[in-house]
Amino acid sequence: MIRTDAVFDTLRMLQEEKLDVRTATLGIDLHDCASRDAGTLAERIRTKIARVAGGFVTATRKLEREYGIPIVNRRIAVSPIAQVAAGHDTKALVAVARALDAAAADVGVDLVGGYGAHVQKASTRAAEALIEALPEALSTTSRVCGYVQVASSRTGINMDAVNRMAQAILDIAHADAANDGFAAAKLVVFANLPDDNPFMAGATHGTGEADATINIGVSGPGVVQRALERLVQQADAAASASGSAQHGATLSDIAEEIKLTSFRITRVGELMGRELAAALGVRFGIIDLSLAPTPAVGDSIGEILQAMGILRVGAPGSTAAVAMLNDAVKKGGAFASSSVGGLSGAFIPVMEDATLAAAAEAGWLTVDKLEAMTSVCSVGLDMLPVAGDLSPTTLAGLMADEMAIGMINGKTTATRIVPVPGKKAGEHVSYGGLFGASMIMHVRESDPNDRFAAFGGRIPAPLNALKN
Amino acid sequence: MTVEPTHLISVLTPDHPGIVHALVKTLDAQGAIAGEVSQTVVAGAFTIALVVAIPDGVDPAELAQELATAAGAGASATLLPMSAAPRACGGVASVAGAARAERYLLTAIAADDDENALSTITRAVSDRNGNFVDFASQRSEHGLRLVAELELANGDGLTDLQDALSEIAASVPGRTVRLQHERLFAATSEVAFRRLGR
Repeated sequence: MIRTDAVFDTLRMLQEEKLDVRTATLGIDLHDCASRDAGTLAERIRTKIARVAGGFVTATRKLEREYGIPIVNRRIAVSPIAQVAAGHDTKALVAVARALDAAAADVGVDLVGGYGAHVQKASTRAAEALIEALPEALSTTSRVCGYVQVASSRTGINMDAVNRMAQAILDIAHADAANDGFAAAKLVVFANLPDDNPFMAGATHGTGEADATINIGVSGPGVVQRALERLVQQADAAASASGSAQHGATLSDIAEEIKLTSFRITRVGELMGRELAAALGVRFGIIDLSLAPTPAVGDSIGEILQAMGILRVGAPGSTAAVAMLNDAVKKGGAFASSSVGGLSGAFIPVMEDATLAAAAEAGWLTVDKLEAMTSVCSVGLDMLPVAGDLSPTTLAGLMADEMAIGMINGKTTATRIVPVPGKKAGEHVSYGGLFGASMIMHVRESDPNDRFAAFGGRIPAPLNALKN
Repeated sequence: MTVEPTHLISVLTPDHPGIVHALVKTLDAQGAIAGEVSQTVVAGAFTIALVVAIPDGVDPAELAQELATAAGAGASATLLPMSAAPRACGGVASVAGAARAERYLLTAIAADDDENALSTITRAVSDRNGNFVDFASQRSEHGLRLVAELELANGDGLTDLQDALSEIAASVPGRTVRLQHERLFAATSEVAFRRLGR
C-alpha cells in the first residue's frame, strides 16, 4: 500500500489547501457545422455540442465522487468561430454567439470559449465581422467567451487589429454598462495563443486538434503557499535549534518545494483528465498547470509571493519571485506529465486575487509593475479594471506593450482589460464570485496626439522569428 | 513463485534484528521456497506471513515449529494448508464473483476518545461486501488515523458506501472518513504514471 504519510499529504492538499481541478474543458471541433445558411449553421452548432457534450457534466460528477476531487468548472472550447462562420456577416456572428450560449446551457456548462479570430497578420472578412459582433455577442449572452489573437512571434503585431480591439473593448464595456462593463471580462486579446488552452476566457479548440478532446486546468495556489510556509517554518525552527543565525531555507529549497508540489498537483490533473476522456470516449489532450487564484483567502498567488518573502506584492523583488515561481511550476509539471500544455504558469489576475487586489489598493502593485511581472510569468494584464473613459489610444498602447513582451520572448501574453463605465481610477468594482473585486487601476494616459499605435500597419516579426 | 505453494505460515514474535534472515535460513535448510511474504511490526511485535512451497518428505508442522524456534524467545507460528487458505493471497480478486475489483483507499481521522469509530467504519464496509486488502490504523494522543485499502466488486456500491461513511463522519465531531479511488494516491505519490494503465 502507498505510504500512510503520502496518503495524508494528498488528503491535506485536497481538504485543507483547496486543491481542485479548476476546469475540465471539452474541446469540440465545429468545422463540420459550416453552412452558407446562418440559421443552419447555428442549429448545427447547437446540435453538435449537445451530441458531443451531452454526458460531459454527468461524467465529471461521477469522477468527483470516485476520487473526492472537486471539479470547479465545466467548460467547452470550440473551434475559432471566425473560421467556422467564414463567409457570414456580423448579424450571423451574433446569432452564432446566441447558439453557443444556448448550447452551453443545454449541456449544463458554465462557459463556452472559442468565439474568436486570429488576426495576427491580417483579418479575413469573417474575422472583421466577429470583431464587429463582439459588443452585442458578449453583452447579450451569459456563457460565451471570446478572444482575438493580434500578435505572434512569427508574424509580429497587427497594430490595426490592436487599435480595432481597443475600440471594441470600450464598446463591449459600454454595451454592458449596467453590469459595470462585465462583458469585457469575457474577452482576451492574445499574442501566441496556444491551440489547447483550457482556461477561460481564452479557451479554444485550435486547428490540429482532434474532433473532441478533454483538456484539464489544474490550480492549487493554496497548496503551494502552505507547502512553502511549512518549509520555511520547519527550516527556521531547525536553524534556531542548532543555534544558527542564518535562515534555514534558501531560495533553492523553496524552488524545490514548488517543483515537488507542482508535480503532485499535475498528477491529479492528469489522472482526472485521462479518466474523464476515457469515460467520454474522446482523446485526452493536455494538462494546463496554472496557478490560477480565486478571490478566496488561501487561494492566492499574492499569498504565495508573501510566503516567498515578498510581503508587499509589487515591491522590488516581486518580478524575480514571480519568475522563480513560474519556472519551478513548469519544471514540476513537466516532470509529472508529458501532456503539459496550454498556458501553464502563474496567473496574476488583479481582480481574481484578493491579495493582489489589496496590493493594488495599497499602491504597491501598479500597472507598470504588473507589466514587468508578466514578462516572466503567464499570462498578462489579466482582469485589470480601468476607468471607463480611458482613451482608445492608451488602451491600444497598453495592449501593444503586452503583445510586444509575448512576441519578443516567444511566450503567450494576453490582456483582459475591463473598462468600467462611469467609474474613475481609485473607485471600486465588484463582479462577485470567481471574478472578484478590486480598485480601478491608475493608468497614465497617453498624450492624445500620440501617433505610435495610430500609425497602424504591422510591427514586423522579430529577428528570432527567422528560425527556418 | 514458480513452484506451487503448499502452505501459509504466520509467525508472531517480539521484534528484534535478524528475524527475517533466521526464518529464510530455516526454510532454505529444509528446501522450502518462500513466495509471497508480508511483514509488519505492530506495537513492538513482529508479524510475518509467508506463502511457502514445502517439499515432499518435510513435515509442515515440524517446519512451522522450527520457524518459531528460529524467530526467538516468545515466538509462535501458525500453519495453514493452501487448500484451506484463500488462493487470492496474491491478487486478492477475492470479492465474491467479481469480474474486476476496483480498489479504494479508506482514510479516517477521529478523536482519541472516539472509541467506536473503528468498529462503525469497518461494519459499514463489511455490510456492503467491501473487502479489506490492507489495513493500518494507529491510535495515539492525537487520535485515530486509519488508512485501509479495500476492494469493491466492479466498483459496485461505491456511492452507497461513501454515503454511509459520510454519515458516520458527520455523526461524531472530529471524525473525517473518506473513500477515494486508489489511483489518486498512486498518481500523487509515485514517480511513474504507469500504474494508472491508461
